[in-house]
Amino acid sequence: MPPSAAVSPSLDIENLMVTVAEGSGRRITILDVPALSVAPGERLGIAGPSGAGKTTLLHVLAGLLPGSGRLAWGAVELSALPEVARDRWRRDNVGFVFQDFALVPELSVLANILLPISFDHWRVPAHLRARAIELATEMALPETSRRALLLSRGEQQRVAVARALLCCPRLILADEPTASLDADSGAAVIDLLIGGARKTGATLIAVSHDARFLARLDRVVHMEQGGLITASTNDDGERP
Amino acid sequence: MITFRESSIGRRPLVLGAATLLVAALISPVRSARGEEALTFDGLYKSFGVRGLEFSDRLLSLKDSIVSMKGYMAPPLKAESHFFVLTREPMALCPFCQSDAEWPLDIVVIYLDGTAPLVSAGDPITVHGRLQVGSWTDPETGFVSQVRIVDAAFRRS
Amino acid sequence: MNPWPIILADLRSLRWIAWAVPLVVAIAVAIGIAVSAQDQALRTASARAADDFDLVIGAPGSQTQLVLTTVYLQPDAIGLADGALLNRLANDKRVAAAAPIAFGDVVHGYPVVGTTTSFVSRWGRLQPAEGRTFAAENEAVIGASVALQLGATVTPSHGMAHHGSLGAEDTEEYAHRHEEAQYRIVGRLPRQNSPWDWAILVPIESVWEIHGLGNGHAVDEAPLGPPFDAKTVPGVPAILVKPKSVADAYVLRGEYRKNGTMALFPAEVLVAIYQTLGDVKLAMVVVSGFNNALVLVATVALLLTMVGLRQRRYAVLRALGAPRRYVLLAVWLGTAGLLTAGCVLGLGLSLLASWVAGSVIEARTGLHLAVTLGWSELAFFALIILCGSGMALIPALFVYRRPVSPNLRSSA
Repeated sequence: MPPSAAVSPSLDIENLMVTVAEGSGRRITILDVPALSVAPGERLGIAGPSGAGKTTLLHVLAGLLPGSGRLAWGAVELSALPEVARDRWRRDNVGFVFQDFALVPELSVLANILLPISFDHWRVPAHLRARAIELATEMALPETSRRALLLSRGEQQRVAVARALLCCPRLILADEPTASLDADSGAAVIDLLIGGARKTGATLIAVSHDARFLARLDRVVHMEQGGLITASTNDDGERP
Repeated sequence: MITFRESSIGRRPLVLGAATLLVAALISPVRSARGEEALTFDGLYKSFGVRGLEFSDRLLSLKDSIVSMKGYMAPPLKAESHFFVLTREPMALCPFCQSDAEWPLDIVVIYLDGTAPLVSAGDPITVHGRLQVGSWTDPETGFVSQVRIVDAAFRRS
Repeated sequence: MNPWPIILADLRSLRWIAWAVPLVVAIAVAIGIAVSAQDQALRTASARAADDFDLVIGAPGSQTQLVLTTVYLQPDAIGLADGALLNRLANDKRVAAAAPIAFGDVVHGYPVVGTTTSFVSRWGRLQPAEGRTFAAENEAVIGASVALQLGATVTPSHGMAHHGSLGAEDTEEYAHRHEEAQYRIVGRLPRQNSPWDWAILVPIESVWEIHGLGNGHAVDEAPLGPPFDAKTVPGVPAILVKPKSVADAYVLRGEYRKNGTMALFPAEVLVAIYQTLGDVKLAMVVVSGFNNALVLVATVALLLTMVGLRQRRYAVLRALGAPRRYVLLAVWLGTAGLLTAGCVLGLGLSLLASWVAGSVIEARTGLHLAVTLGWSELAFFALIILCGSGMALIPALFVYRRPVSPNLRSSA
């Protein structure tokens, strides 16, 4: 049985801005979010055209990119934390899924799923190894000793989802998780992501163009030119 | 190229030479601070009588204590060895003088605490070590000697 | 924290480079260490070979030639010292032992050396490993490497400047046989790891007689060895002297450096040779040091490029929660590990190279080189590892300082 996660804190954003310096020394704003709240356990979709700042927002939410303004994760003022503390917070709370899977191709399926454990453990604890094998079985990945580069794209993304879910994160971030997959594989990944988040009570925030995916989320925000345009609530979204 | 010739550490890479110099620089102030006795060739013997050499009282009183002594490295009797001979005068290179034809009897045998390259023949050196007095036969070479400085280290002076 | 999975993955992704890098480093390191170790082994072997030759007295001439001829049995025509010196030295209170040595003849390419039993036993230090020492003019004792049987009888020939092959009598040697003389081999000496292992030792009297100089004694049937009481004792190429004390050694050296003789400690000549050898070696060590530095720089540049290509991997690790120092450690250990593996491999390679070079030198000179790694070689080895590890920080710090966000999206 997966250990049940504590209820996820809510996410609050106020006046979040990210600027970058241009060649001429002028600073341009690539992200400007005046306000955004995500409820505990909510499933939020982020949609919008390329270059709208969706991935930037995701990086800021993960604490990878510091911005100005306020970003709070429950009582944790993420925007006020130094980098080392943000790394630790990310390790303890966040699961990340990428469009291109971002596996280590030279390592086995199991080693890839267990990779985050090596960040703070010398040896993999037995219960986590057991959980990794359990997740692999759940994701229809029976050959855990196979090298990741020998897997199909759908299998690779399922390994990445297992890696993200291993430590029962309270926040799952996904960046176009189905964009590199065919329809069937994509559907499977969507099921696993939503199912995984539901099982652990995690908040799920996903950047996606995939209408089938967005339709299954609680709420979708649209972004354009670094800012939020609209927030629409999916009445037909799956509630736990 | 001149620096190579000048080097007294020809057989070792520069690294070790530098390390040795560093260690020597660290050790030497400590040693002189210990107030060791300086020994000279003039003070070794009381007399060069018919019955042979007679040790001076000072030499005998310094037996087994740490001493320093200035002199010259004699032509080596053994290659790749840890002992050499300290003499009053440098070896003459001039074929007309041949001062080493009348080699003085008052030599001091130096036993180093490790094998060292014996390449500074002709340069004045200062030896530090423990003084031993009395006839003793080296089991390795079979040579007898009278005055020795053992566990010694030397540097150019 | 255990960056091993990433180190393993990085090494796997390097493919053949992961093998080539340590190999290239190994070759560079091996050259440096082998030169140094070989030099030391040559010194030790040549000094050891001269151990029983404390003071050599000969006719005035080249000091180096006298040492090469007596200690290392490199044949050359050298002048003769007055045979009467033998008796003078035998009666000298400062002399523990003295022995003549005479060269010139060969048997099957092996040099025949005339001397007395005193030096055959190396001043009483050695016992024959087989048989006994010579006791009559027609008997001989052979060195450990001479390929002749005990009891065999051989005929010496005039040594020629041409170099015959060992162990066989060629036509040249046959043409210069001393037909009237014969030696029966009665003993074999233990191995001494010196050129004397290839020598055939005979009584000095035999050498004199073969060359028509009498036997050095007043009567024909005199026992072998000193005193040589003939009216005129024949000359000898060299006299080896074992002084009683250190002081005696220097006094004797001084005394016999005048009045038509030359006296020297072989060590003097060796140390002078070592000095030249040391200069050459130092130059080679410096060159190989530059060589090593160059290889390290090139390797690190290559690895830096490889690390640059893997920036996204490290960014992903950060996104998954890895702290900066995890990435630093993974990249540093990977690079340093490759360089260190190269150094260790180089150490083994240098021993192999030294062994091969030692065999070649032994075949040519008879000196047995026992190559051991001294402190200076190990210091060199440690220094390279230290430099390599230090330089491995360059790619590690490069990755350490990169921002995560841009690299995370670069290949997406």
